[in-house]
Amino acid sequence: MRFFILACAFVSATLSALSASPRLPASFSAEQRTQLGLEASEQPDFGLEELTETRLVLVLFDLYCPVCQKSAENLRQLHVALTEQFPNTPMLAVGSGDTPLEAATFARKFELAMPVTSDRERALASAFDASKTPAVLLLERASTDKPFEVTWSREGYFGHEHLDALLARLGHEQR
Amino acid sequence: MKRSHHRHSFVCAGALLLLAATLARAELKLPPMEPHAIAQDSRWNVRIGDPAPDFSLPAIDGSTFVLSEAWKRGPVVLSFVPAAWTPVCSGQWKGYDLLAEEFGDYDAQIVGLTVDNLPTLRAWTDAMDGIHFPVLSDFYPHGEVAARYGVLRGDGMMDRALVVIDREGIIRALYLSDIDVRPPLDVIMDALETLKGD
Repeated sequence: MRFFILACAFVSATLSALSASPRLPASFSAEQRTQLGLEASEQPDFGLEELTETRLVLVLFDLYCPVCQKSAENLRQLHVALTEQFPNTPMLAVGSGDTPLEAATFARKFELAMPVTSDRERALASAFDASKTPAVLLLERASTDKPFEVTWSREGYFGHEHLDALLARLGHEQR
Repeated sequence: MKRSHHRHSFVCAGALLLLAATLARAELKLPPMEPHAIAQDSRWNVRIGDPAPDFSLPAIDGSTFVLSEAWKRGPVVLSFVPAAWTPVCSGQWKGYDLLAEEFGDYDAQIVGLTVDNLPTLRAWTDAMDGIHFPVLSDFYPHGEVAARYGVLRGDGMMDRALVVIDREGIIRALYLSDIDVRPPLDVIMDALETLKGD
């Protein structure tokens, strides 16, 4: 019986660990922390479940991905548009497979002002089943105690038409 | 009876552990285990603090690159990669191509080497919309420079490796990566930052 209880505890812990999103470095400016709703947290890392909004635009990029480099200007424009038109929909960019230095270098090269972090192990890409970079994912949840789900996505080159499609989707939902 | 009960518990625990492992694998979407090249197949012939073995090799722009002339202009980062037209190598060099300004801040030159021949390297780099740094062919005698540094693999490719050389021609950093894994940019930038302080 003791073995059975131990095994149940192990399974429970495993499933619980899988349901939480990966922890990512939270090296954000005060303004970026506010955008993400993390201003109350002093932790050096965070999980998506800690964000206070029910909607998030998540971008997975890679410094070494030429298509990401070509898409960077449109990603920058997407952030500008979100800030102006949908201030309650924060945007988070994650260097998938990158070190913090590599992710920060990409952001600096392409003047990306949104919060940027890194996910060396590509855990978020795995969690959201995103196999390519760049990946732009609209994540939504019914309430902050529920996990995020992907409700719109674009993997591969992110062009103007994809930017317009995402903004149209967000505008449609707002109406 | 008690013994049978214990056996039953063992079976239950085993089944649950198997289930947990299956769920974890499904959730994390691990890549399939595929047979591939040996991760690292080299043994360095040089050490940090050694004079870098000098060499001259043809570059894709038609010039001849001489290492001992290059290090006089600033630190040199040799990037050995396994093969042209492969995704990890393409990404790695396209990333370095983006960072000309960052390397320039340290007067550093990144130099790429493979064992492919010049036409192959020209076609490959053209397909990547060009590469700003010197790309060298260690094609003939096959992999001679790679062998001198100790990064020529048993299968004839180069291992994925970085060598940072200072202005005096002394090796200041060595990094050997898994053939399928890009070395972190931090290896290069940390080495260049150290050289800047010297």
